[in-house]
Amino acid sequence: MTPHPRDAVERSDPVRLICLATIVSTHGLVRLAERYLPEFLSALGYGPIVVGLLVSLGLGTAVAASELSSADLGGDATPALESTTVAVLAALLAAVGLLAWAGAPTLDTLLGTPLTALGWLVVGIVLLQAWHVRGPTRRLWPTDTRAGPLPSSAADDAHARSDRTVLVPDKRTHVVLGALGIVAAAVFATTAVASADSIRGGFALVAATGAAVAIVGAVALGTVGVLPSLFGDPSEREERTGVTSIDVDPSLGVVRRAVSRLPDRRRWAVIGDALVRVAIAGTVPFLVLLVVDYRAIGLSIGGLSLAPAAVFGLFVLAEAAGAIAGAVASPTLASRVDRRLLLAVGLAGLSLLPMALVAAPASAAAVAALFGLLGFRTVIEPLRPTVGASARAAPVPGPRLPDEIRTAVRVAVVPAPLLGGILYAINPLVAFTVATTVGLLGVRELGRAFSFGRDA
Amino acid sequence: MTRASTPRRALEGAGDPLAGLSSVGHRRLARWHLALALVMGLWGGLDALFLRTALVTPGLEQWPAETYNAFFTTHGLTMLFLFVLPAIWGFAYAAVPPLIGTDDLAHPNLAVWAFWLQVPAALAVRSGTIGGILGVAGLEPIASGWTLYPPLSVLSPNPAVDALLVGLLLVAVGTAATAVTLVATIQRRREIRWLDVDTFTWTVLTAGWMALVAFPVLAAAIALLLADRTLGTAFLLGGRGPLVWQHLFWFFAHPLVYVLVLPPMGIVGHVLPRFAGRRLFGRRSSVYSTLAIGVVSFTVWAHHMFVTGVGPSVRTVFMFTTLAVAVPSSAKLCTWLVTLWGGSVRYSAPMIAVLAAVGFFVVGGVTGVFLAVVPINVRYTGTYYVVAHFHFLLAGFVGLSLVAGAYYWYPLLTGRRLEPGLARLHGWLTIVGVAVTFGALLFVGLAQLPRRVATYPAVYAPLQQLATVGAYVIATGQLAFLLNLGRSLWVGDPAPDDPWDLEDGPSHAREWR
Repeated sequence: MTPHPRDAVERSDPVRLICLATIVSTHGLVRLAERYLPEFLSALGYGPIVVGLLVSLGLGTAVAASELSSADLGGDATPALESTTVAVLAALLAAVGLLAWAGAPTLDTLLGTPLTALGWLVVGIVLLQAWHVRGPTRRLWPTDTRAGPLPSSAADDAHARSDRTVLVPDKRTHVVLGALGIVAAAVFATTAVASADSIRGGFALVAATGAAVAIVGAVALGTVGVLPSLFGDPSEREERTGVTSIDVDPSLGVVRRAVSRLPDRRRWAVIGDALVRVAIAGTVPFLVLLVVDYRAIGLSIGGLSLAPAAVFGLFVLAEAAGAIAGAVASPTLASRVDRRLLLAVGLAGLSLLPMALVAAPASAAAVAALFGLLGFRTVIEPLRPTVGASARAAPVPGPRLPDEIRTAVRVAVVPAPLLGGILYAINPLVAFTVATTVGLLGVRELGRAFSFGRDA
Repeated sequence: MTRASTPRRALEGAGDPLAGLSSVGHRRLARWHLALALVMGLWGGLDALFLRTALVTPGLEQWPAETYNAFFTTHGLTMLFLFVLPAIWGFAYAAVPPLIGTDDLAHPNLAVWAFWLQVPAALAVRSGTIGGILGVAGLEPIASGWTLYPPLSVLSPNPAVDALLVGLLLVAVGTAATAVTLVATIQRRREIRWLDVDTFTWTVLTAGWMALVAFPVLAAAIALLLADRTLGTAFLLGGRGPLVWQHLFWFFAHPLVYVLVLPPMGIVGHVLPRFAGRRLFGRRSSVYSTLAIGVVSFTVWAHHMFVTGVGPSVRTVFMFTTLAVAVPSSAKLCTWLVTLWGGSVRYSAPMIAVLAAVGFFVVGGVTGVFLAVVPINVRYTGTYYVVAHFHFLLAGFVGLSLVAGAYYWYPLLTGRRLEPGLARLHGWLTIVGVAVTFGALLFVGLAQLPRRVATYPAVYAPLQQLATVGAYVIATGQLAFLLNLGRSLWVGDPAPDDPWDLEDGPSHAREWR
């Protein structure tokens, strides 16, 4: 296959490589800071309900911002310039957001503001959504419902029809790039947290470093002037087939009508997958609390002893490694295993993970393996009905998912962390058990979709 | 008879590394000095990164206080004596001979000898760190601050302090010898009229003379300190001994700052007009202001000692002399700004660095003027305000001027080109990093937070974190520079004879002819 000429030029252009490296590193450090944020909140004296509230606030802000920004995509600026400018701004806002997190405990005293530490953490969360929604790495793993729908999937459809590949090469690259950024950030975060006497010091170091790398990324992007193509075509518009988001009326009635228009099996599949997403979204923010406070899983190798907070960084590393493995194994598995079976087993396994994390032996290796499995979900990600795979090769075939339903799924995930926090405050065991239950309910719905018509 | 100094001849004789130990081509000397400066600059920069990392949290989270003290001590010593000093001599060796129409140095063997003194000097200055890393018994990183104030420096049992003093003596001797070489070369080997000598050469000549006056004072002061430590004398202990050290030290150290600042001023005056498409406005006033700075800077040292009990009349005198230095400095600024006015500016990598350097010169200069005023000085001395002020000048102005010089003369030194995109990235990262780091520290200083303390009240954590973020950005910028350097030396394209397209410009310089 002949390489794309622009890719060849980029490979030989060191500035673009630096740009790519810094942006991917920023992505990793932002994600690591977010994963450690609940523990930082805990160190500041806030409980899991506040953690859940903040994470839900972030998700909600992202969904709202995503809808608003996609409505503003018109304009006279050239797409490449607009895209780069927005990416630079997103990187700078991410830097400010991370700095707000790092300095949250004392910013009020310094600036004379009445926000409190929690208020500054909220400011940071809101600013960071700019990175998630409009930043150059919004398509990198872990992609969640914040980034909004993918661009027009016509090309993807054609690709999927032609060779039945589960992950098109670009998407696999996005998974591997994102995971590599998180691997690098996890190594750094483990070192930083291990070297500091407290989680507050370690978190501040991770956040400050993330801010520095984000600024470097912004400067590099500004110097290059064009987004590296690995992040997506700079002329990419958030084109959508059919209705645009500005036309989307997210009211309940509209969503209900859109759902009712879906064929039954498609509807059950989407609802089932959405339930699994809700279950995972309600547990992931609390994994750090589970590992560090509830289970206190440390690690000793030879003379080296790592505190649970530092070990959590290694667990995230295992999760990223699992994501890479999932992306690599995806085409092989999809070509050899029945896609319905793959999706059902994958979602069932994913749903069981919260319980497994609570019940697993207090061994770092066992927990790391479970985190690795959590990351391995990339193997089924393109098959998931809520992603909107519209190819005929999808497990539940059908047209592209309407935007109203995509939006509804994204909105449905928003309160999950808050609910998870409330349950975690009651008892971590309750929270993780409920998550598994909800996930398994989702798998059951999916099973209905698969069994539909089989009896006839 | 002089020969052309085009990039094609940059690496003449470079193929025989052994001959290099005694060979004395001015370009080879330049490369030696710049290579030493690069290595030591990275080492000193790493110290800065560590100390900034330690300040991310208000408490002692990463290292003990003594380690933090060692970081700022070795950072200061390394950057001033082993990075900037060799760097300015390196650029002087690279550009001055062709600018004055010669290829020969006045005392070539002395120049070689002076350079090689710097290598053991560097090892001696850093012996505490090296010994600490290798676990050499007794050797610990020095933690007394680069000013080496007695009685701490006299009473410290750390043998690395003795090694440091010997190293500084070697630096003093080597610097004086280098200054002799450059001054003699300019005065005796010059093949052009004094009126035609360019502003960069004037700044090197002035800095050379200043070094010849200042460094012997440092050598004498260090001899007294060494005697106190090893012979049991008490020149600097008890009574007014520590004040004697301060007088001697600052009589040397403030002119040292101008030794380090004048050649970068020359670089700005040299590079700026070439990319502004104009001749330097007020060239003659620029030369006079260089000479004025060279003289007046020896009369300002006591403003570092306003809080040591100096009498009011003496303080007033030194306040006015210190303010007086601002006059020639402002004259230089005017020449640069007027040169830019109406010019046809080309935003090449050297020009971006020069323009930023001018901006930081304004910030560093204005904050310095305030420090000359006694009541303000008394309030802000020993705070981060001072740190911000001199880093705006040294990291912002001197650092970016050196970056400009490095890019501008790189083809002359190596015969190769640098990747312009990476150069611009390096420049912008350095500019943003310096602005963020020292802007944040300026605010910390305005709140009068004492410097050189490993811990601080938690309220300043956000600003300290911001400063650390900026430091990381600066460091990343230097990685881009290293990448560019390595790439150029490995696979870089040969530079053309006129790499900056100055041939038809109004300010085509002699070194490219």
